[in-house]
Amino acid sequence: MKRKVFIKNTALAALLPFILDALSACNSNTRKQNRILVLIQLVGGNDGLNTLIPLDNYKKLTDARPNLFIPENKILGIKGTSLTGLHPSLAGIKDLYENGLLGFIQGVGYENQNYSHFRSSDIWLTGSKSTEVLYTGWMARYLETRFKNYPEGFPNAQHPDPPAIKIGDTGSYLFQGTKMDMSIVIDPSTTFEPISVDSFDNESTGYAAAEVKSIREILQQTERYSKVIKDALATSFQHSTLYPKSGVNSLADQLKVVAKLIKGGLGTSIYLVDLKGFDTHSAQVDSSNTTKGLHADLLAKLSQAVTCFWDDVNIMGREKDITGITFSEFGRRIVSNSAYGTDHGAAQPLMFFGTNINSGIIGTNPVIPDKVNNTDNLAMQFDFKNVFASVLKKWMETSDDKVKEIFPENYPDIEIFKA
Amino acid sequence: MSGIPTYSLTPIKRELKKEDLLHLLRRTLFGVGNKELSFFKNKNILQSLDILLKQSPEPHAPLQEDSDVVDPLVPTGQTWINAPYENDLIENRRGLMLKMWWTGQVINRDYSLTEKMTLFWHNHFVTEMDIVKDSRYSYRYIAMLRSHSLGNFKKLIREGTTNIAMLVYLNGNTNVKGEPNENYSRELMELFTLGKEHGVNYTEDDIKAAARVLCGWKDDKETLQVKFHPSLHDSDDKKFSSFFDNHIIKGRTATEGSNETDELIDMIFKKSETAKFVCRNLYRWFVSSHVDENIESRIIEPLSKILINNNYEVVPVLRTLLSSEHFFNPVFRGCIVKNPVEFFIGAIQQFDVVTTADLYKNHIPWLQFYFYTADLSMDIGNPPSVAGWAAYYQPPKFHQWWVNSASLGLRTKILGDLSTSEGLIFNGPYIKFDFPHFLRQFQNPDNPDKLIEDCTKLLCAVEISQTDTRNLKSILLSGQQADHYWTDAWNEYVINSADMMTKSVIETRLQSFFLKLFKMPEYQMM
Repeated sequence: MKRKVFIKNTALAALLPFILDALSACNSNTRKQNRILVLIQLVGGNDGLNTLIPLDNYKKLTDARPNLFIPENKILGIKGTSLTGLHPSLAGIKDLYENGLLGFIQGVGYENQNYSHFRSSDIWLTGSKSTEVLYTGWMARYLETRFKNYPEGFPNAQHPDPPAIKIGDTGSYLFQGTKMDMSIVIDPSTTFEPISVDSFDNESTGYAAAEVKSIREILQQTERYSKVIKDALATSFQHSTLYPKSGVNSLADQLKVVAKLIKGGLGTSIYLVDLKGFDTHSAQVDSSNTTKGLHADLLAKLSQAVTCFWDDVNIMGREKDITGITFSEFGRRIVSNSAYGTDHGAAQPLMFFGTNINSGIIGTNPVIPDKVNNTDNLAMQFDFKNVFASVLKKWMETSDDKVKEIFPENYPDIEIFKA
Repeated sequence: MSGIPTYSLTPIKRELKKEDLLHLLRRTLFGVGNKELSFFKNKNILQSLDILLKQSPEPHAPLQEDSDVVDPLVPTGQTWINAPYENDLIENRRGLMLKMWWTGQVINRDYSLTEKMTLFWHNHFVTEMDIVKDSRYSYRYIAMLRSHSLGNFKKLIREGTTNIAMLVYLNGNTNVKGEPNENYSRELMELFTLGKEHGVNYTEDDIKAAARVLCGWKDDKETLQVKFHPSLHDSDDKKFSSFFDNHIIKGRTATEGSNETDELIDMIFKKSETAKFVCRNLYRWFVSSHVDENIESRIIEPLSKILINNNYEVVPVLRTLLSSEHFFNPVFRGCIVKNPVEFFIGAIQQFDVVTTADLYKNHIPWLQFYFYTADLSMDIGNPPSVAGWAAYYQPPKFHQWWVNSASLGLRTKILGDLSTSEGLIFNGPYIKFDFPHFLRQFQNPDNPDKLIEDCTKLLCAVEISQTDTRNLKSILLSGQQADHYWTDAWNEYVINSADMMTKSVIETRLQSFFLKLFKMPEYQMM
């Protein structure tokens, strides 16, 4: 018999289609519609200078990155300013901006920039200073103010839903709490498998005891939340027709799950999604056309994903309750390298969207030195902890005292949200 | 509490008990069943380590499989590792063939640490196939890891610095005079050799100087060779900081320029931090993620001296560690969460499987096995970042990064699919666990208490609770009180195993029994 192996690029995902489109009985939505924050992590270090392009510094920019700059006639102009433009892949972002639904904060970073991906991600996710090491995520510290002693006593009648949802196949430092990870992880490429467990005593000894205990807790929490998640995922929802096919844009796939969960009535207020691949040391742009290449593709995905998601938010009529913000572990170097790429840098622009935000650009265009050398980096205008402190205060309606427990410095408010 | 760890690297003096042997094999092989236990049973620790630390022979190169994408230049059954690059679609299929081939090597592992260490080096000295985008390059990278897996750390780093896949992955091939690309030199110091903690304080300028040293290496897609190009090399002197004793690497011209790379590696390996860094990673891989000051000074330090004194050969370090009183301290039993390869391939090795395919020769299931481990978030060939998998570097959770609300459910689901009566079908052949056959290895499978004890001692590195034991027993007895219900059913099955009815009575109970076991935290540990 002829051996017939068919090598195909079909992962388990294809064998076990995600239950997104499964229909179920209508899930009546009686819970309080709380505010929701969606964090979009751009993994690898996004090149801000080619994202939100400083036109007043254009000549210096072309000198600093002769093989990488976007031709002036390709840059998308934005209404209301002649000083700043957008990467040509960001048409959707431009629309949102011009409709008053999106804004930028220039020059976000922290003191003593660390150029290691891992350390810098840890700093962003734990909300630490560059010089200190924290073992809990800043978001978990915030959630612990709302979910005291988590996981003990949760879920309960007042808090039937998970504190946070991480979309993807692993957890995030952002949600690492004092006692355990405060998120439930949902992987859009596989099925969400509910877990049932029935006994929880612990007789193991040695170092394994703590490990076994933590796994038990994860099992327990997942079991406790699996019904609300399954129910939410099973809700029927006619998504925006703007979404690409599944598997084409991983961020759009993830945000679609977020939309589904929100539509399904999940009362979770914090979601984390990500888009990977921003570490563009080479081939950030195509050598023949700088408007194409890795970075252009990534920004196009970001723009498309946010556009589809916002359309979903409109369809379900939740635009007043939902806001999103992007971040990356650092920006990239001012000077490009010979491989049509950029090395690790410092400050970066963040994007935020929603109906309650102040559309516009906070801060000023980054300054590029007259004589730029390849170690120069963009200066910080806003500490990222200051940005997130403002988000917690204004969007999540957290008191000053509580914000100070999470970010101890005294930060002035950044006017991201309407008064 | 089983006591405080003994911080001693002296060889264990007492006879190895069965639990000790299980501990050693769980940490060194992928999956331990009765086969492994009986092979090592009558050997002492030195004999066992002689076997475990022997490098396995080099495997046959990956072959062209039947595929939905026809490769006009490489017929089925031939290898593609030297064939021209054709197009992205063919390249994509080669990538899958490479990963399934690697999975096949883990399935085929003999009683050697070769595969375990190949994966260790992959996690330590990362490239990602998604970024390299040429499986012929990635094959050469994997072959390099395997050939040095039980070899010499310094040689691996030197060879890897100019490995064809690494040059692409960390942009060494675009690192040229006047336009240094510091991607590789940064990761070389931070992730591959020195680390950044424990008082290591090389500077940003050191990274830049190292990048200049490394200028001029290029890959060639036609010949698949790496060449040094003197015209692209920066021949000025490179000065390093006080961390490197203000060392100056003299700029060299012509082909001499390539010697600077050797000098850079020598300079980095002169720092004892390099040996400590890799010993710490080995410790986390084999013993425990918990490294405190005592472990640092009494275990990591002495190991690093052994590494340096043996000119960076890793076997003496592994031999010392894996035969030490410290390693065998019961406090470490079961304290590591199995990674997805250890979990899934381990289960395939532990259980008897029935299949219409020959798992060791037939490649069909390998691809599916690869997909399973990738779905459980360990995509071999493609770690999530240059730092490897978070489980091996991210405190405080370390290997607990493997377990979360998504992965625990999927772990149970995947083994559950292999436990059904139909088993899993892949393009023809099927595979399923043969639980009744698995039970026959035990002395008293007819006695439910003995059966549970033998089974869980073999499969779980951590003792299970009395409640769980009771629940497991209740499954075997279908909620009845008297043991003989199971005993009778089992004995009837032994006499009359061809009878579908008696077989199904046993099988359905065992399926529920093992599903419950797969879900237990204790089963996730090793």
